[in-house]
Amino acid sequence: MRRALIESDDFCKGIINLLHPEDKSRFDHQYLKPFIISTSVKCKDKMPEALLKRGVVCMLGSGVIGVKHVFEEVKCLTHFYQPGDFLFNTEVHKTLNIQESERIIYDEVKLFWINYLDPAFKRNLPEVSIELEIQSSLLSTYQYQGYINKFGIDRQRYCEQWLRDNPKLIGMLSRKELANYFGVSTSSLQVLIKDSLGK
Amino acid sequence: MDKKTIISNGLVALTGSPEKLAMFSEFSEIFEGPIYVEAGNKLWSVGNDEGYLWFVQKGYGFDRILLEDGTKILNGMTEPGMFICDEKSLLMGGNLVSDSILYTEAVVYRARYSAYRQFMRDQEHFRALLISISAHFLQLRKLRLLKMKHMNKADYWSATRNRFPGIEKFCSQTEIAKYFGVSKSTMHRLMK
Repeated sequence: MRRALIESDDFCKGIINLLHPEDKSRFDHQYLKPFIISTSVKCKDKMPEALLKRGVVCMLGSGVIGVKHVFEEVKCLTHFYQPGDFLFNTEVHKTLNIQESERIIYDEVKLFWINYLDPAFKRNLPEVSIELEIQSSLLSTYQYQGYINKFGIDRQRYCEQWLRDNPKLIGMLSRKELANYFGVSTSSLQVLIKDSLGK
Repeated sequence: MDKKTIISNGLVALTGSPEKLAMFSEFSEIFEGPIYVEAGNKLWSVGNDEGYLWFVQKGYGFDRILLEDGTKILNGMTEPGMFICDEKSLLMGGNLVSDSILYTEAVVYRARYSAYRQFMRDQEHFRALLISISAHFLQLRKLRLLKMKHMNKADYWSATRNRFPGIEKFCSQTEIAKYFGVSKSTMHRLMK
């Protein structure tokens, strides 16, 4: 189950947990606190430019973000970020974003973030900055393997469980978007909803 | 061609860099090889406690990942020009959770994870390139996820079979079905 509210302390601990196990113990999460920024973004608004810069790692504190890409000229939803999830910016990098991936705010979000390439961060925490730069580039790719695995193992079971776990999110999406997220037709979606929710 | 040229060429292709940079040659120095591998052999196995980043000069194969629930699924395909590794172990330490098997003879190079990490720590300019390298692999992953969900499965199967002739000899139908995100019966119908 998702946590209802994420605080800045969770973010600091989460950042340290992104590091390689050999490095985690070398850094105290308390040192990150002065560099944390929190930003709120309203539903349907664009993500602020500052949050899309190289070196930024975000954690979603509250709300929901969906990610859409262009595939065969259609915008396709592949995953959602919910409280506690990390967002890495390689996903939406301006010049390297072949699939035109974009983040859609479905429910007003609060984001905690740091920029590990910010001069003050680099000056005060040089080793953390380097380790985060190494890890975050790999994590952005690794995260997608998780989305692939979820669908590959048993798509039907995954979709049914997702429907049971996300009643609020279902209300925010049109049936067309939901069918698109599952990669099924709208008639198959009706069957999935009936089987999982009995509606 | 020597190791420096081969691995540098791989990096040029990955990063889109217009030329071979000096740091590409330095990066190639952390690799040992060439290592010649016969068809049917594994580059690495689940449970190995020492991880390597591999560069494939020649050869084709597959890697399979063992998930936390005990399921083993086809994770990716090995082709010439690719850097491959057990990502989870590289990122989070611990024993390897995947296998990589070659179905043709191969020529590969390898660098210890520790050497890779130390190189990245020491090379600020190379770290700045990591985003381009990562973006390359990320767009492949995005594409796989999108194809899995949205591509016409008959077309997807046809494209995969053309890219990896004989895939059905090296991977079970169940594995291929999971790779495609379809049921075994759907895969059976597609493969007929």
